[in-house]
Amino acid sequence: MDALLEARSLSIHFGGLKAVENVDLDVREGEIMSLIGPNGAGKTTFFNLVSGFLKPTSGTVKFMGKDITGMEPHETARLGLVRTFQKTNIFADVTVADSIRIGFGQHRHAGLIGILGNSASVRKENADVHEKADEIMKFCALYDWRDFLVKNIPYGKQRLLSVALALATSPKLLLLDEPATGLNPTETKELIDIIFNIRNKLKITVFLIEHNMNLVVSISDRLAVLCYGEKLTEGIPSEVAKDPRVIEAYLGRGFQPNVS
Amino acid sequence: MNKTAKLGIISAAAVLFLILPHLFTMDYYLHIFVMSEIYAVLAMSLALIVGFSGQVSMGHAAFYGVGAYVSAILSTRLGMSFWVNFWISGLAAGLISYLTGRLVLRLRGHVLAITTAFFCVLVNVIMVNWIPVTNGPMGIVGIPRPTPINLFGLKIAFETRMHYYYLGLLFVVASAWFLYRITTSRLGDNLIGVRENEELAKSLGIDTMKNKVFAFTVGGAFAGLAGSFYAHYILFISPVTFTIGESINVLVMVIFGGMSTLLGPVFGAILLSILPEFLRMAGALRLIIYGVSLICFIIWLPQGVWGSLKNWWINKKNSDSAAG
Repeated sequence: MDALLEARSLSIHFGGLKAVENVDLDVREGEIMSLIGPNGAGKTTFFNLVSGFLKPTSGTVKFMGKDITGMEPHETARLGLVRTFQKTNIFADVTVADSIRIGFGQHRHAGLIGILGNSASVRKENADVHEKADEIMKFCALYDWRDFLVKNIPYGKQRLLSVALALATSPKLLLLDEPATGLNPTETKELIDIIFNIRNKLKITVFLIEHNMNLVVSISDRLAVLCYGEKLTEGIPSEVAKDPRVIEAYLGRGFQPNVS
Repeated sequence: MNKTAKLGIISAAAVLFLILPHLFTMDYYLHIFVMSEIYAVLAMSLALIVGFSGQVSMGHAAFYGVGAYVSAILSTRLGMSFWVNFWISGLAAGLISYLTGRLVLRLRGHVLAITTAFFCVLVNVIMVNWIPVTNGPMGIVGIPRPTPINLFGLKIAFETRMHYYYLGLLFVVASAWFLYRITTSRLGDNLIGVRENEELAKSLGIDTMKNKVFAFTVGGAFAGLAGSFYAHYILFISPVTFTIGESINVLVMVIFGGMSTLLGPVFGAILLSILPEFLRMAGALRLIIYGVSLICFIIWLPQGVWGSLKNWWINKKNSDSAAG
């Protein structure tokens, strides 16, 4: 398997704080990979570096063999590297269906003249987008909510909507930043199915940050662990979970019942 | 709403607006109608910037003024006709709003509002002080009316307000059609994405800066067209018309009618052009009533009259389908 995403000695420093330091990391095509680590380990910062929301201090990021270091977020998204956010990031004041349509932006190319004349090709493009939006809403169990304003749908559905929005861009690599945060067990189960389907049916590589260890262990092909901005280890879930360095990072050295 | 009901409402509105100047034939009424038309275009074009792309601009009167001055200067100095000046004014205002947009749209929220407000002040200062070109505070007098046109044997000389009313109506309908197409297209979707959540829009591959500049440019161009129409209607322009107060006036129309719609701002423009005239009866209380009613609207109908109706409709449809 080829590496779809390659980070090489990636670092970002905020003043004296080394938020991400010298991280080498590969995401291979077709896998579900997770990035875990204690709070403040630099996981989200790593996502921000890869997706272009932050510019690295040093190091490079390659996506499909192309150097994308320092690109703008909309440029990386156009190449097929699309991320979701840790906080619930949605278009609040539009309906679910309209909001998915916004996600298709980069795949719609109607010119101004065509738009003003409402030409046949523009109408076809709009009809196609409608159809594909319906498919995505069905895929993410949002179809019944399509005419509701996004701000009025349940929180769990809003989390799914951010995944659906990212899917609308037809990504090659999907970065999910804590998709299960705040979901109840039923919703988490639904999310796990959807993530599996994204990889198995849509053939999209998934790279996620997650704190819910049940979810991580049950869906990931591989794990990478960050701690204080540095990569501790990576490998298959069962090995990583036994790694003494990982246990130390999460629980401290030796056995300390009072974690203060 | 089904198609026949929609068609019925549209044709009723068309008939109403076509016969309106024959129902109210006094020059005073016609003047208010023509001004409503100019404000309708200004409000719609500002709604594209504020309501659709979510960038609060207090500089709209500047582009309106640029359009009016370009038209006035071309016609009084070079003797050019309104029919040519109109388009040049739109292009000039569009160009200036493109350049301004490139500079100021990096800013957001209040900072953007204040910066655009000062841009408006800046343009006004230029109008007052660049006397060789703008004739300063005295303004430009003697702007010619549009040259007469021959419409299927019918000679229209633009000597009565009635003629301006119909030309203005055409202007409003054409602008509304243009902006309707844009806002319902992929471009409109992109703009709504930018308005609702710029960070998310970026992460979905939307070049937010490009889209904001696009909205600002098109909005500014339409304001320029409206300025040209104004100059050739009033036949006299001076810097006092194009102040920040005028920007706020148009912004209030947009908020009042409903920002993220096109019909809302038209509604706001008509109502806020007519309402102050009615309130003249209330004498000294006029400004107080006007202010209080605006505050009430913003508190209870923050999405504007039209926006609230639209949301009510969406909710009703959802509860109907849930019940049935």
